[in-house]
Amino acid sequence: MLIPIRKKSVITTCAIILFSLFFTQNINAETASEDPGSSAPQINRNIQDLKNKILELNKDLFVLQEELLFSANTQVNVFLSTDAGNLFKLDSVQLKIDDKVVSNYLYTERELNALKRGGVQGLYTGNMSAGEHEITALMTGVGPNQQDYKRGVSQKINKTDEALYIEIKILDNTSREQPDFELKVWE
Amino acid sequence: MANFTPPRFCILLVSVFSCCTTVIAEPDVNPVETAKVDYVNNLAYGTSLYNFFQDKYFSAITDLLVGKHYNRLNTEDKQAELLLGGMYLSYGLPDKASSIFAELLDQTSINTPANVRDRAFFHLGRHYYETNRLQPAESNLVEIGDTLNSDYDAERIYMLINIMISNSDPENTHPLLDRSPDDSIWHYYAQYNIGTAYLRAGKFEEGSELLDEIGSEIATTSELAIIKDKSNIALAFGELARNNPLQANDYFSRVRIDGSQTSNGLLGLGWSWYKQAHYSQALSAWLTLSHQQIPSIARQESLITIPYAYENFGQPHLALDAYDLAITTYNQELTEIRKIIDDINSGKFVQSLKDVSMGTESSNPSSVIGNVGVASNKYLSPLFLSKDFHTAVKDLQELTFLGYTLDHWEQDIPALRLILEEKRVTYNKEIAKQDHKKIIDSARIYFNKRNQFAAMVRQIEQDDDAAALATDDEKLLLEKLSGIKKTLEDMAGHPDISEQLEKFRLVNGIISWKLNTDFPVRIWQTRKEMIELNKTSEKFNQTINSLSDIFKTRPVQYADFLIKIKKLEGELSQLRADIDTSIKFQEKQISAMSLTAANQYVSKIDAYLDRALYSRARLYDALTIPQAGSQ
Repeated sequence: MLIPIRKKSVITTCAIILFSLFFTQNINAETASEDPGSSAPQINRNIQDLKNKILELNKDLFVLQEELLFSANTQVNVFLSTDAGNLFKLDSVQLKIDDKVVSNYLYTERELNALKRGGVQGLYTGNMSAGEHEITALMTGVGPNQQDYKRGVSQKINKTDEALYIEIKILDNTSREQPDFELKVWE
Repeated sequence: MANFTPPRFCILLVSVFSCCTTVIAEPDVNPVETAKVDYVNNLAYGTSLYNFFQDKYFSAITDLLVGKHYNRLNTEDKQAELLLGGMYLSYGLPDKASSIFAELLDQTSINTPANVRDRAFFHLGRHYYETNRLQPAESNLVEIGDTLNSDYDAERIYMLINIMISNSDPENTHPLLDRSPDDSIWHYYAQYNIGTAYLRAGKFEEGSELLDEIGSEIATTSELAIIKDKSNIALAFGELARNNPLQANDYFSRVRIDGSQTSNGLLGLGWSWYKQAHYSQALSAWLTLSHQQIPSIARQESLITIPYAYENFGQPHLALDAYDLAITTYNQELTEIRKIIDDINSGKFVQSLKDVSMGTESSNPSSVIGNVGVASNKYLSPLFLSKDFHTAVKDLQELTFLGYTLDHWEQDIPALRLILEEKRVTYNKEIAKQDHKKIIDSARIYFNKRNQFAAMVRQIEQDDDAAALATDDEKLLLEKLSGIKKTLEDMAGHPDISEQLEKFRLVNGIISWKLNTDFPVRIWQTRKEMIELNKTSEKFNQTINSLSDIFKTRPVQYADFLIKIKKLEGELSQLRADIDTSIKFQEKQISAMSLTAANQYVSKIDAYLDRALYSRARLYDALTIPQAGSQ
């Protein structure tokens, strides 16, 4: 017998101590102890305060920029959205207004995922004179059967003295098994 | 052996083990609803979601704030407010979030839909839970109705169960656990916590039933595999404590060989075999543990356990070799970790964190921490896994990103000034070309004429003056008739004008009849023309007013813009200084945390090294002194 008997009991004791300490550690980590007086430390408060101030400043600067650069009577905004995106995986979009390229955009996986989940991308904000204009969007990507796919959608629009909001929508047309591309002018 | 007694050894083992098994039995949570939005009711809300879904909380909140400023959000369904509150929480601004949720839950706001109220209660409850305020957490969580999605509901039940456990009430958690959907990971976390709560309370049978259920599951996800391992470890050590090493072996054997609990499993398995007097198996487990690449306290423990075991097997030479190996390993690790301490002190360590994140908005703290360097990851992994360290790194990342944002605006402000100046100059040039007083005077003349015309129409209507609406030909005819009438009147009493008088009466009658018959049509036509004229006048009036406004306000507007730019520039500069201070402070915090963890590691290794050196010397003496005596 290489191990004295007393050591066995010691090991049992050890396992009990280990066991109890292990689970004491667990409960402390898993379930928060009730401490109503606990509040964020001062540094955390300072960071919160700083973040909040910068958010407000950022908003004010965006508002100032918009008022200065894009007054409502000339403002035009173009957005892009997709639905499930099962029939078309967007790679890039090129936006033209009156045959002039105003935006080119390449998408990351993360952005495509955000679009699929219901996000709407602000693609372009600019200025436009009142009257009739033509807006064209050229989309490239991967279509049904993993084929390269390139499609354009174009529409004549009438710019009034109100800000203009246009949404490019990429939709799955399940009955045709093809993607649909729409331009919608928001009232 | 007197100075290397098993109890002390075991206490070390306990401390080692407890350090490496400190777990947080909760999954990562999404602070706000991230379900697919089927219908985007307005574009401002949608663009905010687009950023939110990329974890760009700062941009997403800004989008909503700008949308609110311009009234571009649909406020009726309160979804935007709920999203804003949730995003404030995600962005670490709980006070702002709480005030929004409190407003949504205000008893007077009866228009808040039930699903919005439920989610507001949920977010508030979770916020209180995460900040250890369990009583208000419970109060909010129990108010929730039945509109939450199943994953949120499972999380709600999980939190309520943990609150009950903290009140030493695991028995009453079963009805709640039964309501938790078992396809959700929250169900397994809750079950694990109840199981271990029973074990702590000394109710092994009740606890083992729950833990064994998890421990024998087929793990379909990595997260479930971790909970499964933890359950088996808990059961195994429970059985060891109950002096059932055979049963403990079964549980240890369920633990994966390449999981986060492997070290603990191997250490425990060694002790379990040891307890059954299967020393070679015990050694095998510990030797396997000692060859693990990633240093852990369990592994350090095994390095010193092995020679101890050899000594007890009567293999002192093997024990000496094993002590040598332990001493060499400990020394190597001490050298490496002291290099890390130097890096921390010189600022290289924090710089490596900053280099990885590069001030991007949405980088995950885990990925940043995971890329700071192999050596740091090797020795500071317990710190790197801790919530406090993640929070500190996240804060540093966010502050760095805010610094970049302010830099961007600081660069843009001169451009905005330039544009404003360009606009002002262009306006002044244009205004110099136009005589705006002349434009406004012409407009005034036009409106006077329009008013006169309107008065005339009113008068015609009032007097039923059909002649006033005569055509030019009719007017000519009426004038001729008027002349004829005058001539006839002058010839009054002349005997030969009776025929002319009769003809005059007839023609005058015809024209009067025509004018009176056409009057309703003509007055209707006139009214219609008046309406059109009014419309045109209204537009013209708007243009004139707008022009007048521009003449009056544009110079003031330019001045206002300049004042705003100056004001925001001042704020920008102040906040830039504040950010720099906060970044430096945060860097110091991270360095201090890292230094503490590194020094603690050094202390532990130092202690192991001392023990290994002492034990080797003792064993060497034991082996050599009798020989000297025999000489």
